[in-house]
Amino acid sequence: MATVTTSASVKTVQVLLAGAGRPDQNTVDFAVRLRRARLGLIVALTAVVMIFVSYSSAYVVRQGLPTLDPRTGTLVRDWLPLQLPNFLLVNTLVLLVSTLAMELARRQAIRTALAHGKQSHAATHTEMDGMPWLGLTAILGLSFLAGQWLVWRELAAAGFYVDTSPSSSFFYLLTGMHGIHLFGGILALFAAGVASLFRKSAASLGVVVDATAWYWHFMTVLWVYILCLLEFAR
Amino acid sequence: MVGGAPLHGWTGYPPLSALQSAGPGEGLGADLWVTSIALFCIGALMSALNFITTTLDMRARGMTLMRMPLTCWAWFITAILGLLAFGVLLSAGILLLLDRNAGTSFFVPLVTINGQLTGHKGGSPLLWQHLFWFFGHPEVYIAILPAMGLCSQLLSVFSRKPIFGYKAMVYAMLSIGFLGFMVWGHHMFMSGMSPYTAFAFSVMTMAIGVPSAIKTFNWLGTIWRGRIRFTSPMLFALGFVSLFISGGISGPFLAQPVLDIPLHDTYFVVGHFHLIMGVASIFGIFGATYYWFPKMFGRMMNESLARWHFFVTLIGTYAVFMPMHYLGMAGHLRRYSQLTELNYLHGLVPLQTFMTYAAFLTIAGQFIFLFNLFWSMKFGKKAADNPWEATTLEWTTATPPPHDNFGGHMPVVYNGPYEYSVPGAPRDFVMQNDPATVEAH
Amino acid sequence: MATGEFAAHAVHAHAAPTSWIRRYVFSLDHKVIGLQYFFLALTAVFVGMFLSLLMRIHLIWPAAALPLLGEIKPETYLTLLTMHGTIMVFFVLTTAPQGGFGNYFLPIQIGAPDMAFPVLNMLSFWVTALAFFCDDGRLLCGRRRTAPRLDRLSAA
Repeated sequence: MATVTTSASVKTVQVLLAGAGRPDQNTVDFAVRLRRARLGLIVALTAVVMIFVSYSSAYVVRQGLPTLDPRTGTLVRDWLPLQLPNFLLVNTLVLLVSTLAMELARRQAIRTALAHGKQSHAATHTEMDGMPWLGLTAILGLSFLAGQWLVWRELAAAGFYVDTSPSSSFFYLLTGMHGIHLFGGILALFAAGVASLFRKSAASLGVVVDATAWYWHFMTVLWVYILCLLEFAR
Repeated sequence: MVGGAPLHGWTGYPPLSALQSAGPGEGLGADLWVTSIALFCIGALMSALNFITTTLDMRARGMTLMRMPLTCWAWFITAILGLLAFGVLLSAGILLLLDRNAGTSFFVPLVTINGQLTGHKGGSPLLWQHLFWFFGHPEVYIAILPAMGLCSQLLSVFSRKPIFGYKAMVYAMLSIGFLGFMVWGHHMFMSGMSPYTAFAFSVMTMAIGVPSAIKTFNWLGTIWRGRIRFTSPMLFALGFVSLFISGGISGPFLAQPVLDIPLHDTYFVVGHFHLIMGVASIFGIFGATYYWFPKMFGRMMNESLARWHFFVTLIGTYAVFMPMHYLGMAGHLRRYSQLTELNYLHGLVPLQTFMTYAAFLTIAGQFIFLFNLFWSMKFGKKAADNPWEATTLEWTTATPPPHDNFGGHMPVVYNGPYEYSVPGAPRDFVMQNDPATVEAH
Repeated sequence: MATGEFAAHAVHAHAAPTSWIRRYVFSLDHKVIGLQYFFLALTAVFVGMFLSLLMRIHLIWPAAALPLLGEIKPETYLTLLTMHGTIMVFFVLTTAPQGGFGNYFLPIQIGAPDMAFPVLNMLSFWVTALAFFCDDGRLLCGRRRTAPRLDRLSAA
């Protein structure tokens, strides 16, 4: 059976399962649930990839399409390359830092899950300080979205709305779709945060935070891709 | 803008579908239509996620991928197709909603409505066609693959023979799924594409015929010299093979760009896809219902009503859809609502009349099924746990299966799914979880 | 990795629900969800067949006035075929074999206690059902109003 576990901590679990002595039931449960969640996430991300693949191909195709100029009666290309606001680089930096924070949160959650298994987070709260990383990621994520909103307003002030020209349509489309997906990730972070206050087991939390973390990393990579597409494939 | 449902066809081509004032029903009706499709895509993606993860991660001990029943393979491959295709339809739907409501011009070129400019320009209806059909062709395989998996299952059970060429069947389904992503252009031969592009799509389309033919021959090979039990699920499985062949044979005609020129958008196409996708798939649904009803509801469906249903539906279907090939070749275009006023179609009216009466009969026949379904739930003959003497795991559970399916005792699998008529075995079938190991034969 | 016996216990095994709503409406049991998909498809197929019947009647008797529906105008014919295609392809052919029987029997045939993500399964059905009502609602509303003639559209 294919396994999707890659992190060192879970490899430890596999070693435990393979050999010496009867593995702890909780550890096994956690490893199986983690693997299943990661597999589910890979599948879900495949669908998201397909959405952005279709948008990318539409983007490239649209650039080359001619249209009839009503004044001259000739076929012309109407693609006006969009000048990207510099503030996008600041946003990108924010997202990159958030992904670092997310990774730290993830490792902490896994460590805690392996150490405490079925015990609730609330009961072991004093021993862990996982919350700050999770909260920091959420704050940075929200800052990114706020920054995107500011970029949108900057573009609108310069006269580029969603229907102004094909290039601006695609800009709003791509950044908007990415933003919606990232917001979904932020909701997942909030759900994890809330769950931790409600006696959810450290194992459950570990699985949720791990899945959300990989999703978040994917969103970061996707953002870098979108930025490159908009900047270099103008 | 007045309401009403949209009129742009299930394929929703812009600019008709992209402009609120393009026609009656294209206002709020079309917006709801696109929203409905988008929601459906999301539901389908969620479902595909579940199917794929479950198949990969939750098989019982001993249930290797190559011991899975072909129904499971079919559902698995269908889910992968859905995962890759529905995302593209969702994207296209979002672009269409933006064109309709946000003034963008992804799909709308410079057009006028009643002499007035719409404010859109530069878009391409062809972009929609590419995106839609990139989804649309895998969609037809999504519709037919589960029925193919079930057909393999039913033919094997009711011929008391293993499926002919299990591995070939698996590879054929995988090839069909894979190739299905490379043929979408054959829906667009009339869109002005280069003949070289058309040639490429045509070759790929013909290539799909190969695994489909392999499956068909393997089904026939399964029945060959079997001890056939003509139960209602078996009848529908045989009907499925018949429809798959009839509908499938008109495919290669349409796959030739040159032949597609006179046949595109005629009744020839309508006959083709109704036979191979519409009714064949529905026969799969009927077969599945008759087959699994005893497990789901603990009772058998009435066999004589089932036979009436089968014969009425089979004969009615052929009566309705076979003449369409002739109509298409005679030049009768699809989606035309007024054929009595067109001179060149006058001679075809008697055939159309015949088809309408056949349709009345066929639809009436479905009420036999409906009655049988609900009546048998209450009054059908009580069913044993394994009334068909089949080998797959669902027949080992209680009827209907308890909450966790196996009552706490997860099965362990020792055999493949089609161990029928095994030499030396005590009965003519060996269950998948039967530990008495079947010798390689 | 032999996790067969462990896997059964590992997953958060939800206990059998008791209230009617949790058992039949928002059930997490793949068997109930499969039946829900099946009955949705059954409803859809009769709606779709009815639409095709109207189309066939119109082709032969274009001037016929049907009870409750009146005469079928050409633009209505196009609406009929749009909704026939949409409903049949999406809500019957994609739903019943996969969502219906697949949901019910895939876990059992592979020896699993349920689908990997039961909550997601339940949500996927209700999203699909919502999509169907979005589609059908318009269809039902539309037939009670008359569509305008195209040459009056520019005044709208």
